Amino acid sequence: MWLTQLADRNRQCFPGRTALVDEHRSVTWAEFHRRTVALARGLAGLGIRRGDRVAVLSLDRVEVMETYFALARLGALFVPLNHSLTPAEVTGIVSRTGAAAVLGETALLARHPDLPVRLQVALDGPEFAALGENAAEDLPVLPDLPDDTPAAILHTSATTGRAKGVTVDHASFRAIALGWLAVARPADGMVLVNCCPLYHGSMVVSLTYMAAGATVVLMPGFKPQTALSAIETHRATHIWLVPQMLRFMLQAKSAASTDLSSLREVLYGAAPMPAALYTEAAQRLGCGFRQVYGMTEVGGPFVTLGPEEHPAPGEVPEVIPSGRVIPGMSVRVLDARNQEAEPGAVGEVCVRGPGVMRGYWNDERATAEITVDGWIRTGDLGFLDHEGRIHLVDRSKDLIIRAGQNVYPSEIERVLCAHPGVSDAAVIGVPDADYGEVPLAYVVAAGEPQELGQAELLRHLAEHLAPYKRPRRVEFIDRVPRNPAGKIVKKLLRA
Amino acid sequence: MSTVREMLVELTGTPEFADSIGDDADLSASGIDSGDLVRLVLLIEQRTGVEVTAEDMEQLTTIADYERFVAGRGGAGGA
Repeated sequence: MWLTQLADRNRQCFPGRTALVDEHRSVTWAEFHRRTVALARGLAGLGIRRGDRVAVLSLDRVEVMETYFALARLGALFVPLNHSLTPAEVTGIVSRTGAAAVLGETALLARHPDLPVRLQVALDGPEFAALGENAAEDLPVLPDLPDDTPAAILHTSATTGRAKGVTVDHASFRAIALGWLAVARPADGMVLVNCCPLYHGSMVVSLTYMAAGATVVLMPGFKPQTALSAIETHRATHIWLVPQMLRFMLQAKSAASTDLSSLREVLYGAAPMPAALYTEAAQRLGCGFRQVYGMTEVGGPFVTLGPEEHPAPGEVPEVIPSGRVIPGMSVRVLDARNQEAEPGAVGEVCVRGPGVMRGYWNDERATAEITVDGWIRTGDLGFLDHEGRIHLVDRSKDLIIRAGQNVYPSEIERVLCAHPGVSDAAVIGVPDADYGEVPLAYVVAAGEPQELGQAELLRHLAEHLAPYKRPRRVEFIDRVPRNPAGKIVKKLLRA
Repeated sequence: MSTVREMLVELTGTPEFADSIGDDADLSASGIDSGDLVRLVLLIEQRTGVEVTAEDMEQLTTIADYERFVAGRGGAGGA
C-alpha cells in the first residue's frame, strides 16, 4: 500500500531526516515509522480491523499524521473531521460513515460527548502515547494490502447541504503524488510549512511532498505570525496556503522583521489569486509561485502552474491560468452538449485517471451524478489554451469560496427556512477584502421583520452552522426572486 | 481610538455576540471564527501601531489580555 510503502522507503532512505514538526515535537522518518507500526499494532489490539472507519478530530499535529499512517497500515480508513463543525454536523458524519472509533484532542472530544462510537482515544493523552510505544510481538502481524484498499473518507461540503464522504484508496494517493512530483520536482532538503488543515482534501499536498522525503511543518490553525515564525525557525523552502492567508501574512507587522530568505516556492490554491496580492507577494518575497488546482473527488491536486510560467509582477493578467494537468491524469472540457470543446471554448472541466475517488461513501446516486464515463465533472467552468493550460473562468454552481473553504448557499438557505419566523430565504456570495468572498443572506420574514430581527437569525445560524459558513449580515426583503421553475434568480439579488 | 472590544464588534458585525463575551473569557473557546481572531490581531497592530509576534500570541487569549498588552506597549489604543 502506498502510504505504508512511503513510510517504509523513507525510513530506509532518510532515517535521520526530520519527517514532521509541530509546536510540541518533531519526529525523524525512523521514529515516525517505528511509532506508526507500534500504533497500528496497538490499535489492532483495541479491535480496529481492516475496513473499519476511524474518525480523527484534531488540530494539525504530528499525532494526526501518525494516526493516518497507522490506520493505513491496518487497512482501516481514516475519516478526518473538520473541528469547526457543530456537534450535529460531526455526529452526522460519524454516523453515516459508521466509524468504530474516534481519535482526537481532549478539548475537541469534550465538545462532542455523544458521538456514536465504541472507542475514544485522546491523541494528547497517555493512552495514545503508550500505543505508539507498543512493541508487543504477540499482537497481529500486519499484512501488506493491495493498493486498491480504501485509505480515507475525506469530507467535502455538498450542494445538498450534507457533507459528502469521498472515498479514496492508496492508488489514488500514489497516482497524485507521482504525477505531481514529476512536474514539481522538489529539490532534496525541502521543508514545507503546511498552513492548510489536515482534515481537508488539501492534506494530499502534504502527503505528496512527504513521498519526496520533505519535512512538513504542521501548525494548529492558521495565524500569520506563527506561519512567518515557522518559515524563519525551520528555514522553510516551501509554504502551502490559500491566497487569503498570504494576504494576512503580508499584513502582519512581523513580516518586515522576519527572515524569509529561505523560501523558494509559495504553493497556493483553493481560491483565485487576486492580481494585486500576487504582485505584492512576488515583489516582497522574491521567490517562485506554484498554483495548485485540485478537488477532493479527483484525489487532490491535479493541475499546476509552475514558477517559470507565472507572470512577472506588474504584468499580471486578471486571471492567472491554473496550469497543466499532471502526468497520469487527463483533463478535458465539455460543452453544453457534452462534446469536447475546442481550445479557447468555455465548458465544464472534467478529469479522469487513477487519482479519482472510488466514489462517495454509501452514495451511489451522488457518485453517478458527478461521474460521466469515468470522468469527474468538477463543476468548474474553464477552457484549455493551445498549450494545454486550463484557464478557470467561473463556477457552474452557486458555490461560495470563503478563504479557500467551500460554502454552499443551499445549506444556509435551508437552515434559515427552518426558522419559524422565516418564510423564504436566498444566499449569495459577496466580495470581501479579507476572505475573498463571504455569504450574504436575504430573508423574507413570515411576520414583521422588526419582530424577527437580525440578531435572532444570527443566533439561529450559529446554532446550526459552523462559523465559516455563517452569513454576517441578513437583509430583509419582500420577496425572493424566483423563475417559473421555482429556482432562485441570484443575479437579480446581486444587481 | 478604539478598544479591543470595539474592534471585535467591528469584525464580527454583531454587537450582541461580542458583548456576550466577558473580558476574561478565552476568545478561541467563545465561538469566534479563527479567521476573525487573525483579523483582530492584524487590526490591533494596524490601529495601535503595536507589533504582536507569534510568541506574544501564545500568551494572549482574552480581551483583557490584549487590552493590557496594548496598554503595556504604549499603543495608540487599548483601555
